[in-house]
Amino acid sequence: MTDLINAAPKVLNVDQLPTREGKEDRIEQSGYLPGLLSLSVFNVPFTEKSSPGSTPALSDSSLQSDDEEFESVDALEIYDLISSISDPEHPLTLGQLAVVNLEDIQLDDSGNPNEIAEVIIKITPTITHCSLATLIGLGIRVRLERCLPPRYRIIIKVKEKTHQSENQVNKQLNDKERVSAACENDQLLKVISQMLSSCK
Amino acid sequence: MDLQLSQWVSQFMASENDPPCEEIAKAVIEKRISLLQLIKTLGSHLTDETPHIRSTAVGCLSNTLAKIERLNRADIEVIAKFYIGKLDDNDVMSNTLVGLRALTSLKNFNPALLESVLTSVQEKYEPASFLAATRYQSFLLLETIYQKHLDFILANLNDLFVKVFIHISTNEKDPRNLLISFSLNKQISSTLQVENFAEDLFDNAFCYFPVSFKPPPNSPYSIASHDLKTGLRQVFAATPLFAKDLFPNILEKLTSTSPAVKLDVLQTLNLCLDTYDNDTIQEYWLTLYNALKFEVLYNDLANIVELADIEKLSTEDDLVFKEVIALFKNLPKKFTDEQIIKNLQIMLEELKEYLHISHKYFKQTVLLLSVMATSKLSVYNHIVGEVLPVLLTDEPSTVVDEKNLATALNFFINPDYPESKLSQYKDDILVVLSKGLMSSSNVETTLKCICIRSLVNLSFILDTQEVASVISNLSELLLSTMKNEKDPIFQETLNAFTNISATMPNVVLETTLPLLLSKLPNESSSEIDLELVRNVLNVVVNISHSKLLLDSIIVRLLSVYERLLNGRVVTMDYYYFLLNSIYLLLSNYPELLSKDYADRVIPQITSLTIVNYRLSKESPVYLNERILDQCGKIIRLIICKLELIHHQKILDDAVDTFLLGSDSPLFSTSLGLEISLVSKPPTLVSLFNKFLSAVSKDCPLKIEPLDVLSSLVEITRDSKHFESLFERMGFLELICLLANKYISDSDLEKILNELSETIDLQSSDSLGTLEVMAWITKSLVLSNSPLAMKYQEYFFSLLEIPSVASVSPKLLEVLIAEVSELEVNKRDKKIINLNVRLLYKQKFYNIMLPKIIEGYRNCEQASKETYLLLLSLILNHVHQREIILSHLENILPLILQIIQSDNAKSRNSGLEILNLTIESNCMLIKPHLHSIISRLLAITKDNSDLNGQINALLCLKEIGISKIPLSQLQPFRTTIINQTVAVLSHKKRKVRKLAADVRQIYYELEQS
Repeated sequence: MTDLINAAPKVLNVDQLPTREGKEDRIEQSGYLPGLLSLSVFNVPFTEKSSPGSTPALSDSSLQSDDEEFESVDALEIYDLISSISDPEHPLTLGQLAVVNLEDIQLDDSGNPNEIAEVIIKITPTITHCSLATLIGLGIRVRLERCLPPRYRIIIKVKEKTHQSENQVNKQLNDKERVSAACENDQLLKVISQMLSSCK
Repeated sequence: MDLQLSQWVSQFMASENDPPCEEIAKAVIEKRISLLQLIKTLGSHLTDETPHIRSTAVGCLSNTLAKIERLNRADIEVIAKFYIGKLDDNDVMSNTLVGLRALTSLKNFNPALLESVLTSVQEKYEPASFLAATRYQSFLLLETIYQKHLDFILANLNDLFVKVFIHISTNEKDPRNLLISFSLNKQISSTLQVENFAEDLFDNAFCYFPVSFKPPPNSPYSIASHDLKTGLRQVFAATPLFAKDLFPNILEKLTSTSPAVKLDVLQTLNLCLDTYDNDTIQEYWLTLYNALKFEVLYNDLANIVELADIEKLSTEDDLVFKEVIALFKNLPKKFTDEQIIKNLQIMLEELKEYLHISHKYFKQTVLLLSVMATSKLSVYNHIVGEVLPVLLTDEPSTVVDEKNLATALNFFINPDYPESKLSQYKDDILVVLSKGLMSSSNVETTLKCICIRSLVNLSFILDTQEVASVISNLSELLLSTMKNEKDPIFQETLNAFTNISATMPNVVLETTLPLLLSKLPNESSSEIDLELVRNVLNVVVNISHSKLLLDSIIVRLLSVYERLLNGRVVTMDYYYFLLNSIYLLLSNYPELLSKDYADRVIPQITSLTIVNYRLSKESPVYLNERILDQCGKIIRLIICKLELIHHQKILDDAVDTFLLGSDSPLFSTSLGLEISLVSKPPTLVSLFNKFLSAVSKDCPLKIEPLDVLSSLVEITRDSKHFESLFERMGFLELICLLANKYISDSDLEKILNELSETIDLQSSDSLGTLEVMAWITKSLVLSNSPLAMKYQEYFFSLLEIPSVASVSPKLLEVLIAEVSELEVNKRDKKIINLNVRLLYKQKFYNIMLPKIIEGYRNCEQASKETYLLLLSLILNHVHQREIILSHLENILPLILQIIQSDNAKSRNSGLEILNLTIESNCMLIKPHLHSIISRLLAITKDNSDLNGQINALLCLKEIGISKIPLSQLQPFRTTIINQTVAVLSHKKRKVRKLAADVRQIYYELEQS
């Protein structure tokens, strides 16, 4: 790429981007006790009849209740999926460039697996005449179609007043025919696959 | 003798071999032959028509001379004349030069001859007509003359010598010759009088600058470009006489676009700056400054927040910058005090226009000045006095300006000068930085980080009160940012505390610690915010960088523990975090631990815990054994760090307390508690185990260990004796510990035999006994005892006995399972707490795995499950993958069976090993791809087994990125992508994410 469309974009610090990565297992359990207790040949009978005194039940039950809980898809999860996509012209991610922002992701999901859910993502091009906005949008769409269950409808828009030809871009981004035509273009797919290669 | 000589001569004249100069020289030294005889014998050869023969003959003479230390003066003179005459003969030049060199280095060589030697070389030797090797000899000759006769040359032949050097070194191209030429030039320029020749000598060297030489791959001399560069650089630095030519010429090269050239220029300048005298530098400093300032001004300094950051730069461009900075650091060192004022005035006059916060060269200018200020105190004071008033009157209007101002101020904070003009401005600086720290929002990370760093740097001139207020501000910041550990502001503040806690522990103790601890929920809090507890304790653990802090933090955390216990707080995780923090503190700062921790902390913890345990059946400790376990870990850690001499006392006290039921110093006060593990088992055995496992095995038990073991075995055999599983496991551990440390193999064998006689495999009552046997065998396995094999076999034989088939794999698992009490103390090699051999695991696997594979093949269908279960159980304990790598191929068929199993636990251990197999040797699974992938996909759909789903997805991921040929994977691509769609709606986020990753990999399969 010889001429960069925007040579000096504003860059955010990766560590400050919202993310859920790595926060999952923050409260670590002491692994020792269940491990030791499982060595006992009496382990099974002991847990089955409610044992006298204390016994391992405590930590186990807390784990179990945790397991049952349904972690619904939320905006942060979607953000985590797309913020690590690389920008086509900078060696930076869309999150770093603030092309995608957590507050610009809207999710309409009843949680019912039989109902259709909707994700609306508004992207902010780094400059108002960014001709790559459509490519970025396409990249996000491909990523989400791969990573979200099929019941999600994905709508990608350019954020209001951030692009000169907002309507055109919006139209192009959500036109099924054009999207699927684009996905059959090998050249384009290659670029997109490069963009997605940085996804974590 | 003559005959011998002529034999030698004809011998080598005929052959290509080296002449036997060694022997000839020896003969000459021993006066068996005279030099004259040699020349006579060589006679006709010396004047032979064939150049080759002439050259060899001269060579013979020269090499002989080189082996001789002294000759009489007359001989020397004759031979010298002979060689001078030979200089006309180009064909023998190389050997002539060798001869001359040999001659000039003889002990009684008369320096008066040098004039004619040098003159003849100058007149008759034309370097251009000879090969590099010959030219090399000419340099060697000159070098020898220089080294041997420097005084004479200085007095008599100064000009002639320099001229000869210029003559022979002009137009030299060979790297080896250049190296010696540079070294000679350096020596000449720095010792001889070269005023008249400075320009020629300089030109002779400068024409090679910059060195772009790359050694050819087959170079015999192994000369690196670096050697030439350094050699050349030293020439330039040899005398200030070069300055007038060097500076204009070399600065011109600075315009080069190649960073390598720039770096070379700068390094040369730096060297010259070091060696040239003050007057020369004073003459040229302005030229230098004018040329170099742009290297700083035009640089983008985005990543530099303090001067120390410059040291961290490492790319090629950055190295150039680093060198410029080094130059500016050195430059003012050459100024005298009067010059400083004058010179700096000129600079400041010029830079003044940039010294406004919003100017685009502001930061660069400040950096330049602050770097020069580091050179010496007088310069520092002058610059600070001139610049800071300007900076501090500027009013920043934007955040960027504020950032620049804070950075600028930080540049000038230099703890190397504790007494300087800076203190006059400290109040103003403090205001600016504190404002940046407190008022701006947390979004402005960089500004805050700079302010934090600057404030910490500034602390060396602040008084106690000011420091206290800074630290209190920083503490507030810690509290407000600790929610996100990755937040750069939090990180920066924590870093700041690393520094502060080490230098000013008192202030941290008075300011930060109370603030932090006050945030911890107390015993009467109705709801405990565990996230808050975790964050606060995390900070506490990370700021204790001094003994004073560590001591008082531990005291305070223990008092929190006491309050919680007394308040009967039942949030177990709170205890866990608290005790874990104490543990982390102690293990993070092992160098701060000392004997008094054993005297103070251990009794406190044991008393608190035991008293609470005995209080009632509702007490927190009684309700949760994790508290006991954590306390034990802390105790174990402290003992492990103790000197050997204290171990015996600790062990005796523990035995008093736990086995004999008497009072001991382990309690802070006498409580009249009678504990006796042997007669009535309470859960406290876990605590005693930590004591026993930590102390050195050389400390004897004060009561007969065999008796203790026997009674323990009696108690433990019957599972009805125990209130909880935890307690029973504690006893088994204790049995293993005692057996391992104190009981001989023969005694153990006796016990084991007695036990095995009582076993009735058909009755479930024997289970307890079997388990006790397993734990005793474990102690044998750990110590690699030859006896271990026998009982290993015994347990193995149980696998096919239906009544115990369900438990026997577990019994074998016990043998290899890692238990924290049975870990070797790592403090130092001298204190050995347990008999644990290094490779015991390896040995176990090497014996067991083939047996399992064989047993599986030969057994009845009904027992196959048992073997698979055993394999999956023991594979759970492979913690160093090397142990298992060599067995992967053989156990793979069994692994493939295990993952078909419906038992989630064994399936998971199978999946883990499968993952390891794919990662380390993916080709093994290639023939089974179809069955593996379809099984993995099936497991991903089993919502009842979360870990199985995760492991299966990990395996699929590993397959996708493995080296299995694309053509083999391609057929599965669509299936995998389609079948993982369902997992995308999994209730767990972690699983969904993994599924997304797997799909991404397979989508990209064709792109790669």
